[in-house]
Amino acid sequence: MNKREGEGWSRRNVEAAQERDVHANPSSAVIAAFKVFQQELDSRHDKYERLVKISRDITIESKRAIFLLHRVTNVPNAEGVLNEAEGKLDGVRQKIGQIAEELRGEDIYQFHRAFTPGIQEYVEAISFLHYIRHRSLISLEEINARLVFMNTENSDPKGSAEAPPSGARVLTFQVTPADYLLGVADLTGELMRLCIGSVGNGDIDTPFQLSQFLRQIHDGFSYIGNTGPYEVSKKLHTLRQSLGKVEDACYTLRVRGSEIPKHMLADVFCSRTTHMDTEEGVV
Amino acid sequence: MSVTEMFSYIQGFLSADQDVREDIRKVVQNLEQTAREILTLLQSVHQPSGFKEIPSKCAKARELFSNVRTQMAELKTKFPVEQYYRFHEHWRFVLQRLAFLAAFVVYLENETLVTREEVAQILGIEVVREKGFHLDVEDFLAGVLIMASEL
Repeated sequence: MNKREGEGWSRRNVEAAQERDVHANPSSAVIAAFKVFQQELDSRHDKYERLVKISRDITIESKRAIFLLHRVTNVPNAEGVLNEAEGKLDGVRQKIGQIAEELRGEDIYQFHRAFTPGIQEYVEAISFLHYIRHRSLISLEEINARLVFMNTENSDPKGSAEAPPSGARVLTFQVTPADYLLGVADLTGELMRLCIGSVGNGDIDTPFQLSQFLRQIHDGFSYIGNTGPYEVSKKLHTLRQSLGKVEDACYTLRVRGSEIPKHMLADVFCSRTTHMDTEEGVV
Repeated sequence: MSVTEMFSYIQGFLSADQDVREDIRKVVQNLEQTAREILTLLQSVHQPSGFKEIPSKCAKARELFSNVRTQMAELKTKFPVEQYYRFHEHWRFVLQRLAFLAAFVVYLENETLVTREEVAQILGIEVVREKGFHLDVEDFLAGVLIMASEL
């Protein structure tokens, strides 16, 4: 029974209770009880909706950060792009702080479906940025370490390095391993695009690094197999396709690369990737 | 942390999660069995012969509910109390059934609508989330609705 049905049913119950043929006193007690239910359900639903809104904002901003990061290969000022992306993700972290505030005192799993899309998108963005900078996979611990929020009495935003005043409250948001896994699965799609993009720019080192990295991630997902949430199995299929494209790019570079002038490499890959899309994915 | 180490860690987490869910499923199966017994007992009131035996059936149902309380106590031990909603889907259906059965018994006994607190008492659980394993408002209302159609 989803939340909307629950609310509709509680209102219908109020009317049903009024129609029921009972003595006057029990009837008003029943109506009073249902009023309480209605309030509970409404406030729960409102919180859920607020979280959905925040999650949507997080998704949008994270996607913008990812688009920005793809430009890092074309642009001479890579550090500028990285800093701008970092700035966007700082904004996202503040939004996550809002989620943490809403969830204070609540069971996080009750509202998990509301914010999981946004969190997965954030994991995708932050791990993308981390890979570009460090050529490694950001760990779940590292992600969660940056999701600590200080909330002092004078609403001083997080970032104070000194010991918090006695009125300070510390809020944390913990990304679950499942959300981390799904975010990383989506990351592989972006890495594949990064690979094709970097080849087009004449970068012939990145594809090989990416190929190895993606192979490791793919092996990790294979190890997990069915133990994870069911969405992982769907994403595994896409992951294999991405891995295939990247390895194909490396193969072409290795075998044909010396023959093809750099400025034509991009065209070669465009035609190859469209060819691959039309045939069945090879496992 | 390398990629392999990260996935190893996650795999550990996920398989521990699966083990907990297995344990929960086993207890929920027992609860479902008891619920079926109570349902069979109470459904006989729809027949003309059963109608006169309502008080004895209610008494018998109450006895069966003590089994429910025992099984609920066992269910509570299977997972950390603050993760109620993480595993909620496993017992939602049977809890709604049990809420309906409790409401039905109370109605057969004195023709009133049971309160959330009464149902919680019959099932051996709490009403308020902070106090422990509780009866969610939506599940209580769903149970009441099932009873409405039964009536």
